[in-house]
Amino acid sequence: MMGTQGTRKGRITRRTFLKTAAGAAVAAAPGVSLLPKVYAQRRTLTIKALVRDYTLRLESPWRTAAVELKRRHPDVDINVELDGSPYDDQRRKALISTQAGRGADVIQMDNIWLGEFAEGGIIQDVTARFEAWKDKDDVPPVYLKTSTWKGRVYGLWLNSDVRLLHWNKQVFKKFGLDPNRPPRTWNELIAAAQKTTNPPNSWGYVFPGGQAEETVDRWLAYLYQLGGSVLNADNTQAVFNSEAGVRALQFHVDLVNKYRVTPREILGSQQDELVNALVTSERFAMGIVVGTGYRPQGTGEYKTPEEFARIRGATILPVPEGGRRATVMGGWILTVGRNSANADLAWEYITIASSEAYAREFWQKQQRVPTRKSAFERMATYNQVMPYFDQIAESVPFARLGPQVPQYPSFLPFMITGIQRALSGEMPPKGALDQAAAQTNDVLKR
Amino acid sequence: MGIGRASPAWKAVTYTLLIAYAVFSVAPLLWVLATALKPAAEAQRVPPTLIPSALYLENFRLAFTSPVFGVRPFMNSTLYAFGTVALALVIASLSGFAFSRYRFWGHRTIFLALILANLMPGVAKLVPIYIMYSAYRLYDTRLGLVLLFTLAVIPLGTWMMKGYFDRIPQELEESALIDGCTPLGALARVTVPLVAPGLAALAVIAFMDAWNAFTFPLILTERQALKPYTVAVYGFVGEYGEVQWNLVSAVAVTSVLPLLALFVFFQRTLVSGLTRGAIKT
Amino acid sequence: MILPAVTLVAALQIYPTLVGIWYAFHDVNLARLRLTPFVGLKNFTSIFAGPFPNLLNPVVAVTTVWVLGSVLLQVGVGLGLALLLQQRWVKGRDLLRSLYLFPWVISGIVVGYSWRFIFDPTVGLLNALLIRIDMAPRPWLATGPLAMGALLIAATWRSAGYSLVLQMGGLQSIPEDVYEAAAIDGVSGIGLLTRIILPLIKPFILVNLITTTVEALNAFDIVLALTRGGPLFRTEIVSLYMYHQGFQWGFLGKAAAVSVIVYLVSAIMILGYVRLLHEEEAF
Repeated sequence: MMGTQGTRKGRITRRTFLKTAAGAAVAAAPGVSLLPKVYAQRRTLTIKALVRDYTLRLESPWRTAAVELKRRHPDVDINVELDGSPYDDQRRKALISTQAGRGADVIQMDNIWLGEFAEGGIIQDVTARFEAWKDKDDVPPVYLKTSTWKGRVYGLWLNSDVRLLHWNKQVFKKFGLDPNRPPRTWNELIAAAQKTTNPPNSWGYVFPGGQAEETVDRWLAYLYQLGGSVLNADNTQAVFNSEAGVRALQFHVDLVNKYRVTPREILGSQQDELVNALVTSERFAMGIVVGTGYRPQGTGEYKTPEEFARIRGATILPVPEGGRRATVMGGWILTVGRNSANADLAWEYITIASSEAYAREFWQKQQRVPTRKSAFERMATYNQVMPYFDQIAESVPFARLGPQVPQYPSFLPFMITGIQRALSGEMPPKGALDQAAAQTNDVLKR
Repeated sequence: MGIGRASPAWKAVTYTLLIAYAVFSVAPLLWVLATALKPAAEAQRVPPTLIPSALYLENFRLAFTSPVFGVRPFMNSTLYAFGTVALALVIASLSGFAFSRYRFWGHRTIFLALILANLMPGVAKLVPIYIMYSAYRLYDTRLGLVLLFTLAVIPLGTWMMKGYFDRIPQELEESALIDGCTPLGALARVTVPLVAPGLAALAVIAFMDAWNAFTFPLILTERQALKPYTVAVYGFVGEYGEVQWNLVSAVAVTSVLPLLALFVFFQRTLVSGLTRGAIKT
Repeated sequence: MILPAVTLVAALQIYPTLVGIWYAFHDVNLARLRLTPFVGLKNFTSIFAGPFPNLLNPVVAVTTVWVLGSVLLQVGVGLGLALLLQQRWVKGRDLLRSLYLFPWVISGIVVGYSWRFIFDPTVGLLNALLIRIDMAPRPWLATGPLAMGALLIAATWRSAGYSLVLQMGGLQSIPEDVYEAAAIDGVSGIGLLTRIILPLIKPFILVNLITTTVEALNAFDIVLALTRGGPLFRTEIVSLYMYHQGFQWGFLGKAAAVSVIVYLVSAIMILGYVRLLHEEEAF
């Protein structure tokens, strides 16, 4: 290509032009910053951790555990790199980076992704390490069972959590309701919501309805209350379109379209958007939250847990007629990434970060359920630090986990869309759920 | 329209429309600025106030000390933008020059292919680029991003530079050589100044495209330290929820200010570049 | 000398296109990138007739409305403003032009979030103004057609300035003699506009149409920030659909199939435009 014929003068021009261009390129090289790691010859071990963004708000658990990890290995220069992400990005990053060969050492994994991550080779089997671990008996059986897939252990739970009903005492007062009497049944909920609804600025009850995982998760509690389930016992069929499912969905549809205590905006919400509005503004009187709704750094309304307790409340979810108490249990498991170059160190970091000494502050201030026996037994005492923790403790016995099958993230979109179509009035709840169930069964068959 | 006469009524109508649209253009920015200066309570008040009650700068401090925002994203964006401009100017000049001066086999086809290749929507490349970058270890690298941004302006740049080079007769360079200039001097004194407007316009456009890029950095960056400000804004809004509009507004204002400064200085170049581009078609 | 440019384009534009086409015929999932069995046309049938949302319902309709609306509004407003602004007696032309153009340099994501705030039903500017003039506030972003309207308004606000500059360039290229001749012939007002000016600037309008169409098809950040495709996919334009399917849910094969369709459609449109352009040049 360079062999084009030009005039003699042309060739000179070309050569000098090239020289100028090359000079410009060299001058520009600093601007095109190449991979910086090339020249680094330091002997530092880096532990890269993919974590949820909100877990970075406190020193616990990551930073305090990092200090301890470094203390245990004074001969090595350990650098703990924390990368916090919102919910959707967390899964995507874990999948992408591991498969792109740059996997993290520690991955904070939603417990519902266990099947997918284990079968997909995203996380490491840590059974041997677990068996050799001196504190392995500190793990409650339920949390060991649910971090095990096909007989192999894949990680340790960092925390669990339950869903409660959060209500705004000041809004209750404003509309003439007793601020210390939250609803205990679905009917009471509807009544209270109707009294506190005054569109467009005040709505009685809010729940997520957007294209996000939370839309299904926050609805599951009501499904469970009526005795329903997502899948059948051997995980081969979708059963969320049972009568329980339809009734639970109808309840939500009615909240939006019949009683009009929930705005249609929920259809367009993003993950965590509505709960942020619920706990930091007066727009909604009640809503479903993970934990109690307290923000560790405080908001414009309150700075301490005590101030929070004065103006807001959290309690176990109201129950339907003919149903029983139930709520959803979620939580995060700490795992070791498949490509981790420092797997032993990563495992050690996990054992520290999830232990009571280093995670306690996180469990308390973020209103999470501890996942170590030693702490689990003392959970009720957390009430001294965080109001309404007794409600969390009370909810744990009847809290159920979501499915952990590998296909769950794949049929979750069908469930979300089904719920949305019912909420928008496009389809009746039964039809919407039946369709989602059919699509789910297709995925389960593969 | 070059018409001198117009009735007073028509003049009034014209000015009304023009000023109305000017207000429409400016009002949203003023609103965002006003909100950035309000504390959270006032920003969330229903109905909202139009003018902030005080100059509350806390939002900006929060924005700059937040782990998902701060100054780093702007530094990244600057790096990407300058890198793209440098690379784009060099490559576009080289190819523009070549297409202008040389008639090699298939030059017309290749030129056309180069121009048309990028008319396809960029989003369609999202999946393949992502997978390709992962395979070739370009995923989550600064170089990877700069290459993509450069690619985006190559066709336009080549076409523009070719146009400029076309209009400069080779005799000019040759006569400069005859006059005793070195080849480099001829280039510097004669050719480059004549295409400088093109280079300037291309630089402005390349800078803008790289500075505002969002879609590809969103998919192709993972580490917080690499993200340009556009992705950081997206992450910030996700982290703090849309309710904290005062914070989001502060972030928006800080995103717009550099552009405002650049716009004031380089507006003429931008406009002339766009206009000339249109005329040449 | 053209090697850098050609390499770049070949590597980052042409090669990915080919790879994308290959992926469109395989089952590629984010969760298991190593396993990609051949599935023939399954991705295509899924994106056309598969579970909601799919292309036929409502993505194609939404995208068409979006592109047509964007193009008509942006070119229309740009042209209208240019015609008004270009009149000889107008003062403050440069200042006005700057004000109109400035939104264009702002990143789409910032534009999207700003307008999302403006359209917020409780604390947004629009409803605040409506309340002040005793009109009913509406949930703009929660209702399908209103959300699309909001999107078009935001997009026009951002990009009409670009069209304006382009069209002003066109108007400036009309030599003075034309106006003088028209004045002599007694042509003025509407007649001047339709019979003299518009035909002369047709190439500019055409270029404007092309650039606006490409920009509308490429739009992603502004829609993501403003509506995220909601409510219930009523603003799910094809780029968002591709992103959601591929990167939110992990169905990369389906996303690749969508990109193949987009390539085909754009190619047809571009060829159409270019043919029109060549006819103009011939004339």
